[in-house]
Amino acid sequence: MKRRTFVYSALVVGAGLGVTGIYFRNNETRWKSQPLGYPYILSGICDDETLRKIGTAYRKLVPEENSKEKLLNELNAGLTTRQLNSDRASLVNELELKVESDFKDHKLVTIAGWVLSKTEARQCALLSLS
Amino acid sequence: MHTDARKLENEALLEADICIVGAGAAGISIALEFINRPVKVILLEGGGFEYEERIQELYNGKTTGQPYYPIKSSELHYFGGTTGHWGGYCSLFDPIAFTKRDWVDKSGWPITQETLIPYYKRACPILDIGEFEFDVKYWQEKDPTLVPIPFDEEVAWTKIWRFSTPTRFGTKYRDTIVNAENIHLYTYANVVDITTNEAISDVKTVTFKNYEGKTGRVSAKYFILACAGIQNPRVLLAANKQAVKGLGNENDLVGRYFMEHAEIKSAELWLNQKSELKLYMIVQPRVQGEIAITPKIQENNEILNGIVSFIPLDYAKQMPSYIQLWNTPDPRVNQQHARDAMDKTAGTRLHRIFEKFKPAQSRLMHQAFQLSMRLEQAPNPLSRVTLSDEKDELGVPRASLNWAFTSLEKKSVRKIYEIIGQQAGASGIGRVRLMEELWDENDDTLPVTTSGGWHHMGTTRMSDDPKNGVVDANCKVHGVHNLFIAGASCFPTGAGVNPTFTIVALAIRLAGHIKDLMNSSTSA
Repeated sequence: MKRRTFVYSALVVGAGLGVTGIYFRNNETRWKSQPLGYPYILSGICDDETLRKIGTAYRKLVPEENSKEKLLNELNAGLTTRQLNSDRASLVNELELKVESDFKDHKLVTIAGWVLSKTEARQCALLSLS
Repeated sequence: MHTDARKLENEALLEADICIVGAGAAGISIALEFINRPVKVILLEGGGFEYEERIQELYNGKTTGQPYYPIKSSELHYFGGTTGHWGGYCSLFDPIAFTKRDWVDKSGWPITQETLIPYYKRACPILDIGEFEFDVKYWQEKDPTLVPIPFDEEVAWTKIWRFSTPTRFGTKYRDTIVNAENIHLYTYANVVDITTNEAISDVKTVTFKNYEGKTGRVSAKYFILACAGIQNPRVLLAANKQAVKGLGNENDLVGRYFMEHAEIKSAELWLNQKSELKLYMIVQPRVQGEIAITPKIQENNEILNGIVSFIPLDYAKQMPSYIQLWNTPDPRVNQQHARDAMDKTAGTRLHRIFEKFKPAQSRLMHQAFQLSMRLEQAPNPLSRVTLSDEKDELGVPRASLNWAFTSLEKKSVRKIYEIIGQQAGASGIGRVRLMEELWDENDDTLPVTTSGGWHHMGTTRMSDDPKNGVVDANCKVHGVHNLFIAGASCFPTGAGVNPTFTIVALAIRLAGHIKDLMNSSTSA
């Protein structure tokens, strides 16, 4: 009986770790492949569905940015060519700094109740178009 | 000394130097100040030493406007008064609370925080809150694990609360008052009328009654009304045989500007990394932090003062708001509702046992917290206590309360969370999410789940100008030389802070003022 319990427990824990691993790996893959279209810090708080909902709401709130091109232009603004062409981890880092500086400079937008930086709201918008 | 007024001869006339009406936090604090002094003090209490349904019924009344607790259950009518269900929260009214703010109509006290500081210090032992220390740095030095959230101090700061045990005045001070030779406590003595001289410039007597049909009067040099924020205006308005509009109500201010604290569960803080936020939970030695907005930022944004507390979201989501729980006229039933809800939130007994075995890391660390705001209310003449057509069993018109807000409250709640949201992002700790009730900027109404703190303020507000206030800076009723008011009804604004600490401080100050008056009249 005890052995059976142990086996079940091990299976449950193993499955849990596996799912978690897959989740983080997927997450990592996504932001690594599309850093401009994936708000890294916010993704630690909101699931993908919420991020997309925020993105859709942002495009509705700011219709002049309701296209991939426009959103990419806005997200690229302020980033140097060198930063844009740097490795993806460095670009994620640059975007994090941009988000933080948005908060410090009061470049904010409130969407679905979330008080967000303009940059991460645009990242959500881009995600919602993918 | 104690006398049960039901056993007095009918139409007894009692005489004293000072007559205090009401034995709650304010009335008892004043009486304590006169113990063993060469003055005779009569302290009138409408109830006895314990809760009695028939006595509490005298406080029944109606409410309109923003949903409020049944009036009958929101102030307690026995020796010790509403300290009988006090939560024990003590903090300072900040300097801005006393300031005239251009964006808050009728704001500004005729005294400053500095005036009250010596009295706050003296209130600490009365309320059993330990040392007078409200600086976060002091507590951090004592316990380095109490770490403030790293917000920009120019924008938001950590306000410190101290907690009383809480002191039940009815229990703690009963023997002291009863054994004091110069303090004459009369229980079951409900004040039903006030008689003045012909010019209505001096109170001559107050009349009291009880269910046994006994009537009595008290004659004194000084009278202090200390019956709390709904009953103080009720007694003044009901004293209308000589002053037709009610005593002290020449300028139609008595009962107006009723203020509460709007207590609203209205946002969430989501942290990038789990944290205990230990300083913001209640920790020993009974200290807790909450986030407040600096005066400069309040001014820049033209908002009211609101203080924000943190509760782990898992727990908070299961806890209904107090306005939903405190819904019967019986305060004992309501308290049981609140206790049951808290027990339910804590989980089943089995769940609580399991919780104890969890490592502290998972038990205490949380990613999401509910933000709950305690917001001062803008002074509003339409938010008021009036007399209803219905009378209580002793023949006094019942109180009717209309709780009403301006558009400034909703704007302030929304703005304060946006400021905290900006700070959460700028400091890299996480994100803030406002609840749906706050999303529409054109909607001025507060959610129906908005609770109050059982804090009844403003109904006999303080101002040097009789056209703006019922009492002056010394809590004396304008135009009546020997009538004073004690309690939160004198507050012109309510800060974002529970009132008991300030009630007691102001009561001690009032006692000092009356001592000065007596000394000067003796020496003259």
